[in-house]
Parts: sequence; C-alpha cells; structure tokens
Amino acid sequence: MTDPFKEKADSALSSLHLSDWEKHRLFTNTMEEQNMKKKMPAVLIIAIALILALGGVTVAEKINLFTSFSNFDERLIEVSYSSVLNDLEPITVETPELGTSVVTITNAHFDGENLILGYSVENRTFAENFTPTEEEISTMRKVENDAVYGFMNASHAQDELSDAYHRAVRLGLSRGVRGVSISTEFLIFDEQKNELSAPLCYEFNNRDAENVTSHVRVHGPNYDPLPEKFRNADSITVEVPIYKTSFALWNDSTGQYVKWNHELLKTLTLTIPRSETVLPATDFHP
Amino acid sequence: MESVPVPDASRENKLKRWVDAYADTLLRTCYLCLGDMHLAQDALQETFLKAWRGMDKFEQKNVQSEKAWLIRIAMNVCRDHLRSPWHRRVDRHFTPEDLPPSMLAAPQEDRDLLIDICRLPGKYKQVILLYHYHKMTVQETAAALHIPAATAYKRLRKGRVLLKNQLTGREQND
Repeated sequence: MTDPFKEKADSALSSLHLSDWEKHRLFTNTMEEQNMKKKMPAVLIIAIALILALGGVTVAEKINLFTSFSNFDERLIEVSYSSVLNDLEPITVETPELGTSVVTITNAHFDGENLILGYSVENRTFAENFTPTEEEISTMRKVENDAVYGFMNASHAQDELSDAYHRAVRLGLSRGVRGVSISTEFLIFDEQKNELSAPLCYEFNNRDAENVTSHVRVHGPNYDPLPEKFRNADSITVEVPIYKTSFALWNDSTGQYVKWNHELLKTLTLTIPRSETVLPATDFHP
Repeated sequence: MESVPVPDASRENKLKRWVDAYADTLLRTCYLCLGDMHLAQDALQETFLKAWRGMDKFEQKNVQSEKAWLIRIAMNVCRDHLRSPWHRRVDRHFTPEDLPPSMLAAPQEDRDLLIDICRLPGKYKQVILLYHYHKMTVQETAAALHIPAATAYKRLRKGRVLLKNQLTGREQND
C-alpha cells in the first residue's frame, strides 16, 4: 500500500537535508554546548560595562557568526558555542540619515594567542549622488596619488553608486557620492586601562541582506601577535566605539576630493575572559 | 531504507550514529512544525542536545523505538517554541513565499501539500506528521504527544478534513 502523503511530503522536502559537514557541525555543537553548560558555574562569563549616550537598546534575534563564517576559518567551529555572548544586548543608534541602526556583537573569543570577534550591523549605510558647490569642494582634501576611494556599500543600490563613482574616477569624469555609514572599532586596553596599539587584524565580511553586514575580526599570531602581556592574562578588555562616519567623494577633471568625519555615538566596553580552548595555528595569511 | 544500527559502546559514537541516521528526518519534522528554516535548525540542535543529556535513561528496545524517542523529543522542542511569548507575538501565517528557494523545484502539487501542512493548527499538524509522515500507529502517536488515544484519533480525523484531498490511500484503509 502506498502512502502518497509521505511521498509528496518527501518530494517537497527532498532539498532539506544536511551535508556531511553540517552533520559533523551538529555533532560537535552538541558536544561543545554540553561542555560549556557544565563549566559555566565555575567561569566568570563576561563583565559588561555599557556606556550609553542616550536611548536604550533593542532585542534582536542573534545569529552565531562564528558558525556562519566557519567556511572562512574552520577553527571558529571549535569555539562557536563557548564564544556566544548570550547576555549582550544589541546596541541601537539613531542618525537623521539612517534612522535606527543596530550593532550586535555576537561572539568573542580570547585565549592568550587569539582575539576573535563577531559582529553585525543592520541599516549600515546611506548614500546618494552628490554634486558639491565650490565652497564644499574647498573643505575636502584633494587626493594626491592614484588611490580610488570608496565607501562601505551594503546594498545593490549602493553598489551601483559605488561602481558609477569608480568608473568616473578611472575615466576622469565628474561624479560624486556622499552619505553616512555606521562603523566600529575594537580598542584593546590593559589592566591599567591604558590603550594599547592594536595589533593588525584581518576581517571576514559578508552581506547578509540589503544594508545588513556581518563580520568576523581576527587578531592572531598568523598575522600580527597580540602584545606579550596577554599571553597569560585571564581576560582582555576591549572598547567598542560606534561611530557615524560621514563621507563625501567627488571627482572631476581636476582630480579626486574626499572628506570623512567620525562622530562618536556610543561606546561599549567588554571584558572577555580567557577561554580554555586555545585555537591551533592557521595557515591563513591575509 | 534504514540500516540496522550497530551497537556502540561509547556515548559519543551513539550520538554520532543518531545524527547520521536521523538528522535529516528530524530536520524535516522540525521544519514542518515550525515553518521556518532557521527555527528548524535551532530546534534540531536542541533536540540532539536533549537526546545527548537523556541518553543514559533511554533503554533501547529496537530501532523503531529509538527513532520514535528522538521524534518525540523534536516534537516537544517544537511545541515549546510554539508556546513561547515570541511566537505568540509574531504573526506566523505561512505563505508560499516562506518556502526556501531550494524547495521551489519540487512539483507544485507537492509544494501545495507542504504549505497545507505548515498552515495546519499545531495540535492537528502534530498528529498528522506522526501518523502519516512517520508512520506511527494511533497509540504511538498518542504516547509521543502525551494525550489519550481517543484524543489523538479525533485530532487525526479533524486534521485530515483540514487537509481535504491531500490524503488518500492510508486514510481509505483505516
């Protein structure tokens, strides 16, 4: 006796299956989650000092970016669950140009050798065509080399603006674009609250949706090691200023002109405890 | 076709075997219950975590009861999510646009069934899935959902009415 219900359902669901890698991840995540829950009572999770200029925060569903970006760096899977910042609320900022934007720090891993952070920005950038007045051009900096400047384009419309501007620069045509973008930094402090020169890092980026970007930023010995004092440190403090970056780009027959301005909107401070998992070395070189 | 699992000594090997054997069918079950791929993936992870924690209490009698046990966990995880304050606040009326792009290649008739299943009220959807999709008996379905067999049978009849002409064959023989 056939059962067309199951046949039809399986036919419709035939594309819904897990690859071997996804099954492996499911298995390792289960093990990692169980181990993390066992250790939680004995570990200082994260001490969060939230400094808000104005306004509150919104609660949004979080994605585990270490899991999402594991295709770029397989090591992220090992710490994808232990690094999740379950208690950290997303940060909401308001700008006249964008309205409400949301910065969410989803993951943080520190093991003495590596500092890796995952974060996303919703409603990232506003951009529009721009023809400056002579007075406005006089406030911009003329580019003296061959560099072609751009902005953080995060949507299809912004891609078109960016491409059109770059074509104009290459061809020596008149074209301009201006707007604002929400940007962040990750500043490292020692126990005495002295800001340290941040080691060079590299970042994996993804556009999740129109004007929504996600990132995993990696500080590690494969590129530029963390300062020596963190080798045996129990924690690392990271300050995360969130800026409204205003930009203006203009090109004409006389050259390229640029202008940037960073306005601090909010600052978040994270103290990230040392993880018991030390990530192995990676061959990746940015 | 399911292969008969080889008994393993270690818990980790057993979990790995469960993932290999049942992850796909559990993912599909969670998707049918929740109608959202991301929620289904979260529910699948939660299902295996609960299975891992409860593994020592599970006394395996045969392959069917092992699978039935996992399906029961998955249905309970999905039911808990459907009862959550978030789900009650969000309008979750399922539409064809909610289908993942990968499913658009399936025949229209099959996609229609999928949409009809996802639109069923939760208590009817559960019995329909356990009885028609997972081939459980009415008694097994009732046990999985912790409801009397008579209640399971009533919900099954009502669920079939709601699905109208999508069900043939087994229904006619019951």
